[in-house]
Amino acid sequence: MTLHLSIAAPLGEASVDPRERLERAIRNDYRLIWRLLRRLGVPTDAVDDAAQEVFLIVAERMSDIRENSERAFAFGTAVRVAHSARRRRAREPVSDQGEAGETTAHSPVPGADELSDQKRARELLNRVLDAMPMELRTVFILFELEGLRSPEIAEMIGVPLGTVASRLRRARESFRELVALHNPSPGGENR
Amino acid sequence: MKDPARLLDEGATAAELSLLRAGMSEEPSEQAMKRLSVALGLASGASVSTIALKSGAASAAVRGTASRFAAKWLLWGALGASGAALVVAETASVHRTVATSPPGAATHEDVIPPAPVVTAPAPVVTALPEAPTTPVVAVQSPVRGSPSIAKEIAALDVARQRLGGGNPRGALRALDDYDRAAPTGVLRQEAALLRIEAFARAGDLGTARRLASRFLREHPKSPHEKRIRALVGETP
Repeated sequence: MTLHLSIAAPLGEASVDPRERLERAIRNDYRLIWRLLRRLGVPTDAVDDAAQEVFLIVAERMSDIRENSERAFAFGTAVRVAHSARRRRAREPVSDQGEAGETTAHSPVPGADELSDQKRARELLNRVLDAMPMELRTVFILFELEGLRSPEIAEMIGVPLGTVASRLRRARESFRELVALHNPSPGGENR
Repeated sequence: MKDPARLLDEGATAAELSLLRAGMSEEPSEQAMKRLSVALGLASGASVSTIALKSGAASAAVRGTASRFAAKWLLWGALGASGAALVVAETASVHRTVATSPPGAATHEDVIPPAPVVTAPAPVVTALPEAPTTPVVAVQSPVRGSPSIAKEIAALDVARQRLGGGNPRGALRALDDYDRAAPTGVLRQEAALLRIEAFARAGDLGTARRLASRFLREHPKSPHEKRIRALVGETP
């Protein structure tokens, strides 16, 4: 693990109270982090705990986190927490339930058919994303699903803007190939 | 450098669109956010109404209690011994800052230094103030809609307040009231955490350890695991 540490200003110079920063981080980023965890393969029945773990870590480390870097820190933490959660799940005996416990209660309430379609679509989306290299997957999720702009993504993942652009381009190619692979029907060609 | 249009807005196939939309429409439950706020001791703050409650159902119940608490305690007290270490760190003139280093940042295992957790247990309270006579149920605010979660939050806030005020026995009584009022409550893990902390602060480490052991057995994947181990002086 590489921690990039620097000397911060003394506490007295801090402009925002840690509690306020934590509240803001949760307010602004909880949904993003929760969905990120889902898209990184955390099962539905574990994602609430995983999101909670992310923000507990953010809270514990708040005095170490540079102001306005809370989202980046939460993002990095979420990637690691998702990895741990998936590793834990892989070690567990396979359950018959699988993803059947899809917490559709977490989503807007669609009709039964739509519910089933959405569930299938999410499962497929996760499979597609799972097949992408992590560095492409995260950029794709943040840009295409979360609607973040490239500069913010670059700051969050700590790479130059040009790298975000090239990863996004490759991620899109990969996404399209994978979706086509899973949807060989002519419907996949509708633009 | 100009961003390209999102696939959602331009150029996606029907199949691609359906996947993207399905992913974007998935949302966390309000209950999960409320639990997080409670776990972090933020439940009493005004932020709860904006963070967690789209409906605002519980905000009225918790807003009234917010000003009575010390903000510092709400945040860091809820984090216990490791939180205490942070408070200590804040008093130093120089402290570390984590740059925007997500790739290397933070796993729970990585970021919590075990030493301060073990060496800085919750303070043992020797003088136990009298508990307020107001029962927990009286704290419940009249809230329209579905107030059950609001009542749970309010009840736990009473326990948290007493704990923060150096009254762990009073906190335990509040938690007993909570258990009676919400035997199947959604915040039972948080209540158990507070109970363990209350026993630890009251100096009854044996009971705290017994409860901690049971909690960890029943909730082996709980995000509170590290905190609970720290409270009873266990190395994670």
